[in-house]
Amino acid sequence: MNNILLLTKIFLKTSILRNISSSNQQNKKNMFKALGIILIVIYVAAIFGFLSYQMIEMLNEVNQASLFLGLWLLSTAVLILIQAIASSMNLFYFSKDIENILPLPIKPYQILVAKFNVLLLTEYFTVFMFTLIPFIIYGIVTGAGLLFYLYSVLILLVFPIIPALISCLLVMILMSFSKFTKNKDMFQIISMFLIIAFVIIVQIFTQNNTETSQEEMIQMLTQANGLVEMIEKYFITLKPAVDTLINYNSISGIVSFAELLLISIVIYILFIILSQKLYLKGAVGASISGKKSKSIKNEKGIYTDKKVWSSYLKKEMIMLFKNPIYFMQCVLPAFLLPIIFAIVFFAGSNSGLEELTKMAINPTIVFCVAIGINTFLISMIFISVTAISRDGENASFMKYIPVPIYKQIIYKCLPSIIISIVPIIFVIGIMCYLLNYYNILFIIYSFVISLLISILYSYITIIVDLKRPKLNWDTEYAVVKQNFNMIFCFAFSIAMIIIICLIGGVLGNMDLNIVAIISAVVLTFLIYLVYRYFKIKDSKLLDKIM
Amino acid sequence: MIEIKNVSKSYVKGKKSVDNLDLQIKNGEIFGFLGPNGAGKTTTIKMITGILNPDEGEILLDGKSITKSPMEAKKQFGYVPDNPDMFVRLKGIEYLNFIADIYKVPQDIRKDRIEQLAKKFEIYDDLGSTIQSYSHGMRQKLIVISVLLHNPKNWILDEPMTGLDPKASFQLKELMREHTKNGNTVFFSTHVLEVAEKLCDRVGIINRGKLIFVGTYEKLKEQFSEDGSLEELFLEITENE
Repeated sequence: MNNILLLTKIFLKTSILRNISSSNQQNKKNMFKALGIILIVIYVAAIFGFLSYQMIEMLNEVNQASLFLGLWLLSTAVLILIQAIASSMNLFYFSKDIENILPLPIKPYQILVAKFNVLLLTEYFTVFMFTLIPFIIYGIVTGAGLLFYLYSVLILLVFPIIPALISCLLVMILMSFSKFTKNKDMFQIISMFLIIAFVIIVQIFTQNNTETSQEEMIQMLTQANGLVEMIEKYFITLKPAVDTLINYNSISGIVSFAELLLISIVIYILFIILSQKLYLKGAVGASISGKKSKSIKNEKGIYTDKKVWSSYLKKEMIMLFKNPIYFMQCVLPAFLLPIIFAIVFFAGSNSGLEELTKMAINPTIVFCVAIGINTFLISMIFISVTAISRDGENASFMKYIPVPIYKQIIYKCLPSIIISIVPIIFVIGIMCYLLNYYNILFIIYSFVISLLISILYSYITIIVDLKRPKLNWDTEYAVVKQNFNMIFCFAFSIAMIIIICLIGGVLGNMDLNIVAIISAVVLTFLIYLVYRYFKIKDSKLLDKIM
Repeated sequence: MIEIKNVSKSYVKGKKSVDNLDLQIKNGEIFGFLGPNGAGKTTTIKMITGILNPDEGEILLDGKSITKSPMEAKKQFGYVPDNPDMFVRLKGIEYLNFIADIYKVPQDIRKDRIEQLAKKFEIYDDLGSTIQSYSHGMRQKLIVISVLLHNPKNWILDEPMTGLDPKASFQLKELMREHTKNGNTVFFSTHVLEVAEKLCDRVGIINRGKLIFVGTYEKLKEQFSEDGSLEELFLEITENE
């Protein structure tokens, strides 16, 4: 038991609490971080609160408020399922701590329990954010007693166990196959793609196509309850959880809760017994690609010399694309988001599109919309903001090779700019198709301005990484996920979009040619300023790297 | 030739990690840099290679200042860092080609050198695999090969023998001797005292940032107890300081 607690603490520290250090110097930073996190939590919780309030009110009018509990718990379960798949993959397989833990006199089940504890703790954070306020609102609207709130907290502690277990099991089964595949990195990327594809498909199917009236909404919710009833048969903890909350005032509430607790414990124990072997088989060496040695004897053209910039760029690209974690976190959003964007437009509400079609009369506004969407997508590429940090301890390499630092910085910015071309073209293409607006000037201007924004974004975010590099990490996952610098990407995106909206508002009636040329001149000037900054500072840019 | 002129460096105010270091490594010389952990060896090497800037003093590589004309100075040396885990997602050959491109090594020369050195260190058959699949020793060998590609006059190596098998270690020592025979310079740090004893023309001992001895092994023995091993001497010197 002591081992489990100890391991849980260690895993928790290395995975989540890594950034939180207790030194005095860090306190101010931590407060800033904590404030940021609290604001985001309040914002998200408020959105869910508002959404649930509308549902509860509607259902309460027809005395069906209790349907809300089943629906919301089912949504919670789905949320946990999706989130736990991603986090369990990282926690169980991509973190390298397992190889340090295995030689210690610790039983496999203890490692497993400790890892699962960490997963569960992170899930609780999401669950409480998603569910606590809606349940409080439900309690207030239905005038529930104090016991309801107590049960709510208990349910929220016990209920997430099984969905999290299901995700872990899915990931473990998937990963246990990876030893059969020759290229583990590729397999990890493909399995991640499959999971994301699944989520997108679910999203398409659940997309709400039409504006619904209140009656239709209630009808839909009642129908959805049919879904809950159907799933209850398979998802055996859903019913006892809902029953506990409905009958909180009577003895059957206690019975239902006992049932929920018992089922969860039994399945938990079964999971631990069954998955011990499955886990260790897949986990050991999951982060290592075990390939047979490959000779270059029969390969031709391997010794061709390249220009420094092209060789540097090739190295950066290989390091990005061959590393599943960097690929998924830094590159993938750039390819994935345009697809989601397209789905929203094709399958989603038509009203937004109609609005846009009306605007199509004004090319400047359409241009601003295209630039705005592209800016948002560009800011989802986390290549430059991690360009220095990704090198970790190798970052000092930049300092002792005979290539000027400012040039190396530019080479490191290139992958982000090149990759951003994919979503830029995609978005412009979709807009032309949807609006049936094939204006060559619009296409050229949108492309050029988006590209200039992408260059500026890449330059500015690499400065952030130069000023605050995260070089001491033990898992590559930490470079992106536990890196507060990402907030600057969002800040850039928000600032740019506000400027674009202002341009759209103020200069909306101005000629597209003039707006585009002014934007191009201003952006080029800004890019030149940052370039000059790189050139003047040169070796001082890497002062943080020792 | 490497000239370190009155160089000082401190990470924390008031505490010098390297204190007024004055040292000259002549052409044709293998120089071993010794010292206990935290003595200032790596800091010194990082300053020579331009990773760190000295607070005071100057460092010249073949007459070129690493701070005033860094590009010229950086072309004069090849550096083997203490951690060989470099860019592990690249294939061995991709890494070597990348380094050859950085140092602008022409195609025919790079082909000859890569084949010759990789065969000598017995990793030629693994050059098509990713560095990630290499053992620690193989990674170390790859870094050593990459450093020798542009045939730099000055070799700077931080703990180069760590992780090498006896054969590779022997070959590296042979290469060092060969290199200095042609009038070039080798500067390396090590914990293995026998290596310094048998290989080095001169040794330098650094402790708490200060250079406390420079000279030949014989001179070192003369200066201290005549019959003691270098290890004992080494302990004696660093403890007395």
